[in-house]
This record gives sequence, structure tokens and C-alpha cells, in this order.
Amino acid sequence: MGNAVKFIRLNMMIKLSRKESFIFSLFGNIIFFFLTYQLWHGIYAGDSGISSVLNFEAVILKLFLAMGLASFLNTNIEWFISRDILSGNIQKYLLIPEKFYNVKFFETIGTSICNLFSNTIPLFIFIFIKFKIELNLSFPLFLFSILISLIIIYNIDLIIGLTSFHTEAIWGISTIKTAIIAFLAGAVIPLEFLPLGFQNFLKYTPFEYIYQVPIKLLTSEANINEKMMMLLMQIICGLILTALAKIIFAHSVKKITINGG
Amino acid sequence: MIQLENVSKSFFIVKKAPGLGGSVKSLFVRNKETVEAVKKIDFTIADGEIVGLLGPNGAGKSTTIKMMTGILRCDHGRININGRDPFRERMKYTKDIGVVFGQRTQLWWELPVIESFDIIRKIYDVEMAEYNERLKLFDEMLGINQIIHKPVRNLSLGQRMLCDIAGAFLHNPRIAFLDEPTIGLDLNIKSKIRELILAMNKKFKTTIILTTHDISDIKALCERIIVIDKGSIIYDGNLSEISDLVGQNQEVGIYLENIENNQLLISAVQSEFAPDEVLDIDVREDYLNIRISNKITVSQLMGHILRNENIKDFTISEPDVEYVIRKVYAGELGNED
Ligand SMILES: Nc1ncnc2c1ncn2[C@@H]1O[C@H](COP(=O)(O)OP(=O)(O)OP(=O)(O)O)[C@@H](O)[C@H]1O
Ligand SMILES: [Mg+2]
Repeated sequence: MGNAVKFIRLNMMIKLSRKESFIFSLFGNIIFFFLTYQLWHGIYAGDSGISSVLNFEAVILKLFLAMGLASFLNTNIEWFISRDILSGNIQKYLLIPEKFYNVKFFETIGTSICNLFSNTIPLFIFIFIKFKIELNLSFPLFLFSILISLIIIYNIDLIIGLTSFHTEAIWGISTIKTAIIAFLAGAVIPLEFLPLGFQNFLKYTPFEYIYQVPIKLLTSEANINEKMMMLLMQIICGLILTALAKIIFAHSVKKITINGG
Repeated sequence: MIQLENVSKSFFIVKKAPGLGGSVKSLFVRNKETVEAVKKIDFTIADGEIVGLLGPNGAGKSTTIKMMTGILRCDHGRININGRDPFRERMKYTKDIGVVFGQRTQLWWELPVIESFDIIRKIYDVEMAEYNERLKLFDEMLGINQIIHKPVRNLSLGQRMLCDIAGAFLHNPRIAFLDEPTIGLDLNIKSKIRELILAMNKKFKTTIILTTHDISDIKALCERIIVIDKGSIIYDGNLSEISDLVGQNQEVGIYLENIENNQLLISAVQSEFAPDEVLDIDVREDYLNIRISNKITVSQLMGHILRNENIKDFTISEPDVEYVIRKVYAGELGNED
């Protein structure tokens, strides 16, 4: 536990040493929110029957929440893992008496906390005030669910980072991952606009559990039992991905060649 | 105790024809090539030894160190260090070792050095009192206190290396693996690092395994050396006996009244002794340096040339390690079996 705090703190200090990047990313997010709003505003102005699926307010709420979560959860650690694998600097992580899996997770938390204060909290305060979201019993569930989302994304990123043992194409893979998650997890257009069959299919994939479960916990009319069920499914998804990532790591570390020297 | 038995490691590399065309072609056809980096090496190192791993570039030294530190798995053979398999028990094993790869840093690049030291203290469970005592010692020996509050990325190579070395010894490891710890350093920093290594070895009985291309490191630190070439061990023994490898016995310096008139003496020596008796004759500033093999003695040589009236004085010295190692690297082994 003490190690966790140390590594989280260390990573926060590293992130804070590049404070300009926060200002830019908050700025970028604000522009992105604004453009999204304008875009959908335009679409709804020329309404071609889409408001029968979801009304404008609901679209904006869903997208803003998903984008706000993305600003918190996107740490892109696969990028750093891959860089370290290709340069051989991964040795640093293998030479300390703490599991690689844990250290990278602590680093992810550190980055997320920085994102939280620089990006997510300002954005969420804006969303909560604008949409008059009540802080009822769902709110703690929402927070808890975000933690599980963090674990899910971490494992996906880790698995992708480890593919650098086999391919040097991390840039492409990482970009594709970000695009796919943004789209299939519902941060580009609300999933309600996708074909029904595809929507149902997505419910059986990890994408459902990244942004959708926390958003539904916060905003849907479902009763508490249904909400607990969603949370349970999300936890299961997190556990499966954790196991998978650990297996892949144990396999990869045998193949690792530690470049350089 | 460090034991390596029959340890081998190969790498696969994708071979590419040169140029853009070759790169495009390699997208479709992958020509895999095997590099045998380490071939069936064996050695045992006792606690408290200082051992130098030597060998030309690409010999397999770093690969051997990587396997001994548990970050690289060997393909064949067995590595047993203090009763552990470094790769399989990596997590526990790392507590016992300190590692420096001279080409890179173990410290956190963006942060002040002291933050890295602090996390090392934490994850290796170093007592606060012991930690402070060590920092004090490192400051006395290396003078690092002025630099540990700077971010690693702002340090010079030498400053960074001092901090890396200090970091590797911070948790009092039983074994320290130092892969080129003096690469690119000035004489002053080199000697500080050597002193620290010796002190750690004396005071705490830390076993030291180091690689270097600097012969003066070896002379200052190692009694025993292991020479690796093309992945195999070609010598394992005392530094003082390495000259046996090229069959050199002694060096004789002959000071002449008139150094320009050396030709007579040289041809006299060359006509009397065979090339495997007198290995070479070097004309230096004011003397001739003659290397003789163990097939003749100094007195035989001197008996023959003292008649020459041109001789002013002479010296006899132990073989020059640098010369010997250069010969070994060049593949000119005297008594290869
Ligand atoms: N990660 C790797 N992938 C492919 N080949 C490698 C890798 N690491 C080392 N090799 C090859 O293995 C051989 C031994 O390399 P190694 O780094 O152990 O040499 P070294 O003795 O440390 O040399 P130097 O003195 O130049 O550091 C070399 O031929 C090298 O090309
Ligand atoms: Mg090397």
C-alpha cells in the first residue's frame, strides 16, 4: 500500500513537471465540447426525425459525460510501455521489487488524478450545473463505477502496449484503439443511433463497460437492483480483463529481449 | 554465490536488404537470422569477489549481465544466484541486487534525483537511519549533495552516473552488477566511482560484477577477470596471469646511448631468437621495449645483448595488461587449446 502511494505521487510529480500540457489539454477539451455542442445543435436544427430517438438535451448530456470521463480515463499508458520496450528502458521496471503490473497501474492512477483536477472536475462541474444533475444515491455508484472503468481501460492499454513485443507499430495501433473506444463506447455519437442489433452486440463487449455503465448509473431511471446488476457485470468485465492482461504479461516477459547495451 | 552452468542465449533478428526497396520487401518476406549472443558459458563467483567481465564489442557481456539480473531469460542452462533463479524469482531476487547499465539510467528522468532515492528507500524497505547514513557516505565519497536536488535530465553524464551508482548501492545489495559504469567519464569521476566500488566491497562484502572497456578500471578493481569473445569464455582467472593467454612473460626496456642506432641491436635480437621467443620490439622515445614469451628468460635475452656497448640501462617489468588484452581481442591467442 505504501508503495502504491509512492508511485502515484511520483507519477503525479512527473505529470506536473509538464504543466503546460494541462493547460493545453483543458483548452483542447473546451474547444472539443463547444464543437460537439455546435455540431449537434446544427443537426437538430435541421431535424430529420432523430429527435424521436433521443432529444437534443439527452444527446448532449450523454456525449458530454462520456467525453468528460474520457478526459479522466485516457492515460494512454500503452504509448509509454511501448516506448520503453523498444528502447530497452523497460529493464528499469523489471529490476525493482514491485510487480510491473502494479507499478504501471499506480502510474495510471497518478495520471488520472492529474487529469481529474486539471480537466475532469472543471468539465463535470459545468455539466452538473448545466443539466441540473441531482446528487442522489446514484452518485457514489457512479464514482465507484468510474474506478472499475479505470481498471478496464488500464488492462486494455496494457495489453496493447505489450503487443510492442511483437510489432513496432504502436502508433497506429494506439490511434486505432482510441478511435474505436471513442466510437464504440459512445463518446462520438450516442449509441442509440446505432442499429439495434449492433447496440445489443456491444452490450456483450468491454466497450459497454467503459463509459456507458457509469453514465447509466448516474442518469438512467433504472431501479437500484438493475443498477447493482450493471455494476456487477462491469466488475466481472474488469476481473476478466485483469486476468487476461496478467496472463499476456507473464507470457510476454519470457520473450522480452531488453534492447541495447 | 553466483553459478552459471551451460548458459546460452540466442536472439532472432529480422534481416533486411539495404535501402527502401529492402524495407518494402521485408514487409512480405521475413528473413529471420539467429544471433548466438552467449554460448554455453560456465562460471562460479564467490561472495565478496570483484570480477571484471571483459571482451570486445558485441562479445555477449551485457547479455550475460541481463540474464544474471533476471530481466532476460536464458534459452538453455541454469543460473543460480544465492539459491535463486533470477528470472523465475525476479521479484524477490531484485531485492538482493543493485544494477547500473551505464548507457541508461535507473532513475526517474523527469524528477530530482532525491525523489528516485526516496522511492528506492521505500520499495527496498531501507530503514530511515541507514538510508541517511548511506547518503552521507555517498556524499563524502562522491560529492553528490549539490546535485541530488536537480532533475536527472538536467545532469551531465558524469553527475548522472554518480547518482546512478549511489542508487544501486542505496539498499545495500549483496551483489552489484555494473555494466560499463565508467563509460564516457573523466578521470576524476572515474576514480571516485572506483573508490566507491572498492569501499562497498570492503565494508559490506558486496560482490561486484562489472564490465568495462577501460583497462585502468580493471587494474584498479579486479583480481579476477572473465574474458568473453563471440559468446564463449576464453579466459577465466587472475588478472596477473592473463598474459599467459598470449604467451607473454615479461617486458624488457633497453635504454640506449643513441636511440637512432638501434637497428644493429634489433637485428641482433631478431637473428638470435625465434618470433615465438621475442614477441615484438617497439621503438619508444628513448628506449626499446622488448616483449618476450615464456619460452625464454630475461637473463637469456640480456646475456645476448649486454655485449652491445650502446646500452645505457635497462628495466624489467610485468606484462602490460592493455597490450595483452588488445592481442586477445584481436584474436591472437598464444596458447589456444
Ligand atoms: N536485443 C537484442 N536483439 C538482437 N540481438 C541482440 C540483442 N542484444 C544483443 N544482441 C546481439 O548479441 C550479441 C552480444 O551483445 P551484447 O550486448 O551482449 O554485447 P556486449 O559484450 O555487451 O558488447 P559491448 O561491449 O559493445 O556493449 C551482439 O551480436 C548483439 O548484436
Ligand atoms: Mg554491453
